[in-house]
Amino acid sequence: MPGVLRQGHLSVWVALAVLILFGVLRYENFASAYNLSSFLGYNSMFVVISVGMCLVIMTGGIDLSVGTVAAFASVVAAMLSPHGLVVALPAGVATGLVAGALNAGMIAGLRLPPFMATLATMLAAKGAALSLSDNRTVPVDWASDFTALGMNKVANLLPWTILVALVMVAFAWVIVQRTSLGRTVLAVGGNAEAAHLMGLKTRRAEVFVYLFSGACAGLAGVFLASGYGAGQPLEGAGWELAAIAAVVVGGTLLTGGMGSVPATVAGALLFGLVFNLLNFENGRGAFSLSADWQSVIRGLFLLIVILLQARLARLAVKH
Amino acid sequence: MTRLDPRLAGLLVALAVLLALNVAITPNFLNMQTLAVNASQVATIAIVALGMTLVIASGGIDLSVGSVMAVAGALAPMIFLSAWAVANPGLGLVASIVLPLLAAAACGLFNGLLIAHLGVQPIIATLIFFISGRGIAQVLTNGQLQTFTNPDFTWLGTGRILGLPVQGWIALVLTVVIALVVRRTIYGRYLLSVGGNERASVLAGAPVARVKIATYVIAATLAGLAGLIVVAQNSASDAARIGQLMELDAIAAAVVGGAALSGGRAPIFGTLLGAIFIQLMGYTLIANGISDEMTLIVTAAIIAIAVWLQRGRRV
Repeated sequence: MPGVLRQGHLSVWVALAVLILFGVLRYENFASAYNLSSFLGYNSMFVVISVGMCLVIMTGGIDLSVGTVAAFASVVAAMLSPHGLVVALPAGVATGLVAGALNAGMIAGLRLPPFMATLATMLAAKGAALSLSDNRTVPVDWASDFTALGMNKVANLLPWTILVALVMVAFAWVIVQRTSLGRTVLAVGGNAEAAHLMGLKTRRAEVFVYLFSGACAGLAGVFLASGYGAGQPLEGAGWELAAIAAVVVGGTLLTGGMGSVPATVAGALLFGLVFNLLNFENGRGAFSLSADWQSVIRGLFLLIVILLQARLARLAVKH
Repeated sequence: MTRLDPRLAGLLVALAVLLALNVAITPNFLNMQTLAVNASQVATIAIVALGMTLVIASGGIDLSVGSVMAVAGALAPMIFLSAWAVANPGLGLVASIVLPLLAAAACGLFNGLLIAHLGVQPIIATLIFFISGRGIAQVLTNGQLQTFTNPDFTWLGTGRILGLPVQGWIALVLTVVIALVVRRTIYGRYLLSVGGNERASVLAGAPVARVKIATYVIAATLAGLAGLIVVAQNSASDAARIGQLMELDAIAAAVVGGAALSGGRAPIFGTLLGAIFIQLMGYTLIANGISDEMTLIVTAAIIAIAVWLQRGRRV
């Protein structure tokens, strides 16, 4: 499998395998169908926003708006849930696309720095979510088929959300690996000016990644509303940083020009797994770590990954 | 200042328009109470934004300021409520200000070392403390709200000097001091050169690593001070809430004030004006019955416009 297991990205897969093995050996119910399906259901949101973020970061950009855009989309989807999934799902994704178009316009059109442009969209989406929902969670219509997406599972095991998320992953992967658009995405991140001078359609690549990231955030919002029964205008705080962390753990450098879609997925799952294992450890009762510890441990985990990356990067330079 | 920076002039005009608008439409705008309320609210943002401006001038960014505020804000009451501090109130008060500031500085040192010596990108390096710093503060306090009555300490957030809140004066003094540091010290020169062209600074023999580390330490210490002020203001310390979203307010103030994310520019007075502008804009909307949500959208538009105006000038 070329591309998947390339040297730099190997470590994240190894870490994922080691943690899963650890969980299976240590905790009785870790390998249960219930744990697997709830783990995948919850983390499908993070997988999907991380993939969008991965493509943005490949161009050397950043998208800080994904968390609040997801919250906004969850409100829109919940409000339209009486009309069923056929309406609510596209509406949620369209909400994300509008936010993505706003980002793309500011970044590719007005040439604003991505950090500031998406920061503005982040605030605006939060404001829009709060004013649309009147500052309250919006319950979904349980009578319609809207909650089927977030709550039903294939063979009682795989949530539909993770399958949809994997479709987005596959799409992103094919784009990056097999299309000239994907090559341009990486070229923009490597050296935007050179890519432009070579006649590559750099703006089109930038527009694409922010639209894609917006659509992913919208989809995550639909997952949220559908899986947890409400549009939640205040959810999504810090999601952008979780996604950035997943991308970085997956071996993609923030400077752009390189990166791996599958490794980003592994990075997102790795982060989720740390939480999952902590919950099991608490369940054993030998010692109990409060929820407050989780963020400390997540930060430590990120630190270790970054230190390893810094080392690897130095070794790579020497050779 | 021999000539006024056009960016600063634009911001001053915008502020003047906003003030005139308020005098015209906002009831009871021109009284001491309104001024004091606004000054006490803007002070913490301004103090953090000063540090953020230095970081941005170095070509970096600091996402951890809110979490550092929480760490400092959680430590202070733990210290002055301890048995030792109750027995030695004077020393206890000093310790409850100095030790949290040192802890904050240590956080900044950690950020600076990662960035300057390991070459980690600033957004990622400071993301570590953004995620875990608040967790550390919550673990320290067991996730409990600490309430207290300590008039000496709360003076920092509730006292008045000449009718204006103490923290407003602190912000003002710090602005002047930091502006002087940027203009008159070697550190200030190096800071702008590192942010302007890091490669050239290295080749010219500037102590790039030390300058960067010092910058993150200053930013974190200022954030720690802001954390103490917030706790003093509320007579309570809630590690989960202190300084939440502060990094965004501070970045917005710095950028509206004329800092460029690409580095090399440290408009200190602009930052103060930027913080005042954002505060006043929020106050105008809320005082005239426009909701918090709309305020967010307006703030977003202001940030986008400010960044766009900067771009236009550079080309």
